[in-house]
Amino acid sequence: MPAPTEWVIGQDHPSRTMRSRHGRADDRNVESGRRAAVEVTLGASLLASDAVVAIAGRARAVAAPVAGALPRAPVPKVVAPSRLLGSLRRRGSMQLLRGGTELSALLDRVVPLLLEQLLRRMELTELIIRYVDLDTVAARLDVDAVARRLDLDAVLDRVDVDAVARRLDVEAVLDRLDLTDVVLRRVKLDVLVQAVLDRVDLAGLAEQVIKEVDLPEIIRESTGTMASGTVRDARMQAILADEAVSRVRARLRLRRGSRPDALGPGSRPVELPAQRGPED
Amino acid sequence: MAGGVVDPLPSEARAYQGQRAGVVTRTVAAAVDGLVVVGLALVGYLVWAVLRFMVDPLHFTFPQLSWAVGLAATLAVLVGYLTATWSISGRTYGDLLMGLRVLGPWGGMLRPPGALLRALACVLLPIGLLWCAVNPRNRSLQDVLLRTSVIYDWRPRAARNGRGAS
Repeated sequence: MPAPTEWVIGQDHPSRTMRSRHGRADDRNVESGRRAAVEVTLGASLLASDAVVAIAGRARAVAAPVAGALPRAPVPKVVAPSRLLGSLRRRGSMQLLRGGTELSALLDRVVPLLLEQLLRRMELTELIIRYVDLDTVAARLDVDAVARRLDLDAVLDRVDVDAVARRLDVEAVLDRLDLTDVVLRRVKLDVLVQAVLDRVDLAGLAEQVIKEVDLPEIIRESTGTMASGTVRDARMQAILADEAVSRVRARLRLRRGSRPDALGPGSRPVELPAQRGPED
Repeated sequence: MAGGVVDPLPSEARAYQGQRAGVVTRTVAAAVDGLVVVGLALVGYLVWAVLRFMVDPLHFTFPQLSWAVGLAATLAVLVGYLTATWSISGRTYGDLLMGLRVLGPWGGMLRPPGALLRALACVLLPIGLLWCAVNPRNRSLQDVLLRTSVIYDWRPRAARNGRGAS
């Protein structure tokens, strides 16, 4: 049992006057005084209880002389006031300590049972949602600290990434993405184009295109065909005049009840001898 | 177009390439050819006169030709001109100017005998050329008889398969 705090009622210690100037020291003294008073009161109560028991024992001795064999309760001796207060304080302190220990043991047994019964009868989730500001709680969470405590490697080891990837609907993801916008914003087009150009043989490609297109032949045909705008206009005018003649001819043939011409506007191209054969 | 994907022809003319030419275009080409032949005949006449001057300059006079001889000579020049141009390039100067080409029975270039026959037919019966104005397929009398065709072909060279265009 810890030793009770030394305290003398009605007697100021020489250093008390100095410590009273400091707030914390005063608070400690006040608290210690209250505790001592409680202990003294409790000790006095116990002494009074003992006295009642002793008086009851005397009364039993007077009332029942034959009961001399009964045990006699201890009768406190008359002691000095200071010793009386110290004794009362020690007894009260011991009783407080014993009562605290018993109360703690009782709470240890009762509180879990009581709490379980309470939780069983309450919708804790609803209560939390109703009375707890989860946003505030979440705002105060240190997610970084939680993340730092996570062993992501262990988590990833437990994840079957292939299975997750197989369940992904990549087409749907791509449909929701504006890839053009992503490329324009995220891709350094200059670098990309430069990289592509570095890998392409532009000279060889140009040479191949010229070879496939036969550019010299095109130039020859262009200069031969487009020699004169006047000639081209004359040719087109003649062709249009030919079509006009064909339309007149077709109209005349229709009046005569003959079949329409193979020529004329919208008519099919004339079959050449190479397509028809010599018998036509 | 040979070997290329770029067509140098104007877009409005592409649809007509390979089709048989009408009477107007062919008449214009024939008129140009007539002028060419008349010019050749005059050049021939002048050459003959120069030769006569060189042989006997003191007694030089311009050659006197009868209409029959002159006409026969001109027609002969015309036959030779048509035969040579049709068998060499498939087109006379008038055809070249108007973007025409003469093809043989199989769609290829006319050979010299075929070109000569067609030239004779054209010279002896020029009115037969106007038959293309009546024929539904724009074929002249010579084309019907010799199975030839005159098509629009603005390209400077004949196609390898003998056709100007599809």
